[in-house]
Amino acid sequence: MDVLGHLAGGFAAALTPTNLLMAFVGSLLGTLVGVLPGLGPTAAIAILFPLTSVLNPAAAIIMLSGIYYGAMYGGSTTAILLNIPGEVASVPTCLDGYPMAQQGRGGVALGIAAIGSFVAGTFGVLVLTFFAPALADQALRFGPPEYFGLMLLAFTVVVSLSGASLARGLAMAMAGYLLALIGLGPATAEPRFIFGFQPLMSGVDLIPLVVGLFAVSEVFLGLEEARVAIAQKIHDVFPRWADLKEAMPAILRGTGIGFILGLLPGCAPGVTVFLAYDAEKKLARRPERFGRGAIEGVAAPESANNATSSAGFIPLLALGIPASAPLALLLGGLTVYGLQPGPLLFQKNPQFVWTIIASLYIGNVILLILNLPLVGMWVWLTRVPFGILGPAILLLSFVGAYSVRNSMLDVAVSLVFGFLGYWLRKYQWPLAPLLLAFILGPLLENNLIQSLSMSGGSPLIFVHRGLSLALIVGAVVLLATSLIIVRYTSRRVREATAEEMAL
Amino acid sequence: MIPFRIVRSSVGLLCALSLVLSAGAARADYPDRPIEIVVPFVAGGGTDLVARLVADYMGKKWTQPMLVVNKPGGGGVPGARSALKESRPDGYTMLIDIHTISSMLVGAQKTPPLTIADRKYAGRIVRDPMVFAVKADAPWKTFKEFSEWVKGHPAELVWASTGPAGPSRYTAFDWMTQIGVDPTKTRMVITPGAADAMAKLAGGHVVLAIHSVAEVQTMRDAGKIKVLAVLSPSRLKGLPDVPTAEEEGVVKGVRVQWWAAAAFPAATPDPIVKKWEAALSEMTKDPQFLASAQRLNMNIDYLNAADTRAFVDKEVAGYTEMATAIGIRR
Repeated sequence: MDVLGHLAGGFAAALTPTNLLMAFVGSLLGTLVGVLPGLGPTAAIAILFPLTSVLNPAAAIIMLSGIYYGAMYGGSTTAILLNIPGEVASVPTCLDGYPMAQQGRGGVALGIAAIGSFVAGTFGVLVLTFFAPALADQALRFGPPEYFGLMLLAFTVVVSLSGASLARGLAMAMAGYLLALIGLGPATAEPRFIFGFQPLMSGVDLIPLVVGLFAVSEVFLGLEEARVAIAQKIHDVFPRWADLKEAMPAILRGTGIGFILGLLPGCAPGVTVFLAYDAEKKLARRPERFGRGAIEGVAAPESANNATSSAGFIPLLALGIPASAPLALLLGGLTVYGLQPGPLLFQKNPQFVWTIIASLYIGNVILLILNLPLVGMWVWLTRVPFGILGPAILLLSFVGAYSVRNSMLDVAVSLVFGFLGYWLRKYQWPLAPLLLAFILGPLLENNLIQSLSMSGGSPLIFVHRGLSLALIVGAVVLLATSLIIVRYTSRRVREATAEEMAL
Repeated sequence: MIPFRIVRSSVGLLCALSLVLSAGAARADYPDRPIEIVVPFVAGGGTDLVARLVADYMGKKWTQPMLVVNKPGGGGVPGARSALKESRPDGYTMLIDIHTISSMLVGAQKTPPLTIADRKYAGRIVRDPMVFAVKADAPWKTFKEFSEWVKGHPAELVWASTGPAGPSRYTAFDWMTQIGVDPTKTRMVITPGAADAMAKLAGGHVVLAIHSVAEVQTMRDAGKIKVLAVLSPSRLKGLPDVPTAEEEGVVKGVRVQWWAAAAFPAATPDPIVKKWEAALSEMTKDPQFLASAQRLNMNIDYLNAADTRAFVDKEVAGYTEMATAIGIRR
């Protein structure tokens, strides 16, 4: 197959003024949407979905895809500058990005995030170009037992996110898991924990939870501290060569982890960024730097989430299986045009497919160009007095929370968790384990039930299948490693600073 | 104390206003403002696509925007409730109703959160039959052959079901009962949706998946799965070489299928519903509409309001009986 020839044709089509404009508009909108807490690519794509009836297929899909991966860029901006993650996938970025900003290295963090995202995104599209159908087939081999093993592995990350107190981390994880139980049970469709309150049948949604716990609580904290404006100055806007060298291994590792896991439709996108962050922490020579402004702590998650979003196109285009909600909408967009994903798509509509792939490359470049100079503009955001910024963030957060399911319950959830998050943060309870457990809980439960259904109730299925056994063993190993590292790091921190490590 | 002249002029103003407003309402033709079409499922899914096709056509016909609003979650019930019970019955909120939130729901629950009486149907739009899909390289060539195998090895049948009480389960139950297999001896794997089930089928983690035609189309075109039979009174134009389950001599009668209908809150005025009924009838004959539906592999099968109601009531009886027999009716 003359891949390069097709790709060249794709570029020719993608570089037409209309399609370039679509890519630009999509990327810009996506970045904007990513910056706003709660409002995510899903809502933006859903709102612009009717455009599919007026635009031609390539233009519409180029724009909608632009929104999708643009949002991954945008989420990191407020995470670093304001400690408010614009997306679920930006939560780990806050952990080290905001301390970096407080140290005056905000520009460096933003620059590394942009570069890492570009590297990861481009890598993802390169692999998509050459290996899409083959990789998609491999991804199908992951069945419920394998996903269970993978989620178990991801769960061990809770240990390193717990900060000083493992007990608190586990308690938060338990709370997160219990929250995820609210709603209809997957196996029985019986309501769980709704206490007779009908609207809770839909359960607590992830976005309002994130918005409440991180965005709303941050505003409350800021108002309490009587923040006037964010005091730090952004000195270096572009990262120095030394920073880049320091971050590059993390970028490459984050890309790898994000990409491989992004191929698996059953793995939620939020999971990959936590795993990438954790991997960096484990591999670092001095893990106690994490949580205090370690550049790898920004580079790895940011690369991972862009790699994941690029990888998500592979099962989408090759098999028609969406790995996340925005991709499901993109699939809907394809369907509206009568374009069936699958190998036949590559054969029947090659021009369309290659135009999209070419525009993914172009989109990555556009985003890099958009974001590096735009850092100055985002920095202006932090100069706005908090008395104005705070309420604005609150307003946007509530709108974002509502936009997920057009449900007022979600707004109430974000408010309630805003208060809860405020209290938890004041008293040093780690929020990240709660979030991770909330995401992983249903995945663990569904896959466990499905695995046991497949085996007729026998847990030996996990052992009989090589890949699932390997993943479960890996989870145990990773757990042991995490515990050792946590003990080691807190000892080092105590020795170095005579105070407890905080997260 | 408010001066009397101010009171008098305000009363006068109020009267004038109310006259203008009520006159306006009496004179305006329906629809005189945007209509909200509620889809209690995610955007991009089957129900959503039906809504968008309808919105597109009606929007052009009545030159009023038709807004598709997605309210997913909770199996579609909260979204449906908001459209049927929590909105004003003035004809400006419509629901795209499907079996899982209507006939199937009522059949499975003794006190369902929504009843058929809560709806006034304007008409049925789409009917999408269920098919039996297995992996492309599976050893069985015909549905009959497959059913024979299942009779002999029920414990080896690992099959995907969307939800614990979804259409897959009912279809499977109907089929298994008719071929004489005890469903509890088979291994049902509950999946959250069709896409997930298709991935499991193509990956060889389950042996059988029962879904609607539209849901299996992608994997079928990708050559990863094959369809052994379709549960429909007659062969489908889109699948001419797939026999019906009845032809294969395996399953008699069709009691489970995916369908979508336009529904309004029960108290909506009849003239409005009748207007929609006529418009839907016209829409389902329009060649452009049919062409767009064809591109989406949607099987347009119109029924007028009264027939739709009768169809749904019949389904309720069928699902009630099956749910009781399966033991899931509560």
